[in-house]
Amino acid sequence: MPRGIVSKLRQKSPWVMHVPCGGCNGCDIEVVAALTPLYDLERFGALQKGSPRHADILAVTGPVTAQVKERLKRVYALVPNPKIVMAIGSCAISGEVFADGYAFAGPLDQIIPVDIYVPGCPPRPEAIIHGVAQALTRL
Amino acid sequence: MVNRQTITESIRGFISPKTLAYPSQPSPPPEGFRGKPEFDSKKCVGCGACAQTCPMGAISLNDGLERSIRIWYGKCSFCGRCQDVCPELAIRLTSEYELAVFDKNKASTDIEIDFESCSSCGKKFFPAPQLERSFERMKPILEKRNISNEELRILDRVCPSCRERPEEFSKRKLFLLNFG
Repeated sequence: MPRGIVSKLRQKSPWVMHVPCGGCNGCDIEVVAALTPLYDLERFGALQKGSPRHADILAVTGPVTAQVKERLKRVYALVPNPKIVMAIGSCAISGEVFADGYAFAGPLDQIIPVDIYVPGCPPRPEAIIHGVAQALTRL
Repeated sequence: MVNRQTITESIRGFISPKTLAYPSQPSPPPEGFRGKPEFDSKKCVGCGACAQTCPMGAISLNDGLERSIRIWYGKCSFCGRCQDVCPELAIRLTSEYELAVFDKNKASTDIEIDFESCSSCGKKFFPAPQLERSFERMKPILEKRNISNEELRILDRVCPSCRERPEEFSKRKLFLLNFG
């Protein structure tokens, strides 16, 4: 199939894999809230997937801890191209409160390339939907 | 217990969808929501209290020819302490929350404050609006003691290193004696 059609079809079904990387769980709750019927990210075809091999978008939350760093690299390698990485929450962007901690191995963009940043502590579900909508323009 | 409200809500759910039409229609946040912090450039005096109190270090001061204050939303936890501590109510947390960006350094806001230059050596040493504000506050106190505001103005426009000179020192001593 021509590339144009493939990317257009991909925009209709951007499957998301949520990767929590050691945050306070606030952002994780908001990511899941964005998938609930009230906000309904699934309207845009964004299904949550348990396997990175099925995903187009990696939704990474939390500062990256030393434990999860190598696993995150493996998960990133398993996502088929073209892939999008979303850094959700201020922790994923800069480390925020955890930046001086001993277990902090991030921020995220020093480990894997990040496409879109969604600041917030935690970001509202609407802000995450806004981020996904922005990211789809890059797919 | 199943009450009346639960039953009516569940029946209503079958009639009309509950899903928010968010990207096509705006979804305003609730009252008191702490969103993107923003400066009011007319009110800000450049004291830097916000940068000092910020628990995350998201607000940074950069003193060059002028003082530039920057908030980086990538490090902000939206706690609102900068808003609480600002003496001029110049920094406010707005209800804006759509902050997604492709470049993390672009998720920031800047403000530039002019410095006052020293009247004897010309070195830029203190934020000018903050100095002006302090004169305003001192005015009623000085008026009680029959001292003109201008006297204080002349003394305060000297940078800390020039203040150590003997002639400046004696001027200051005289002012304090008048002040009582």
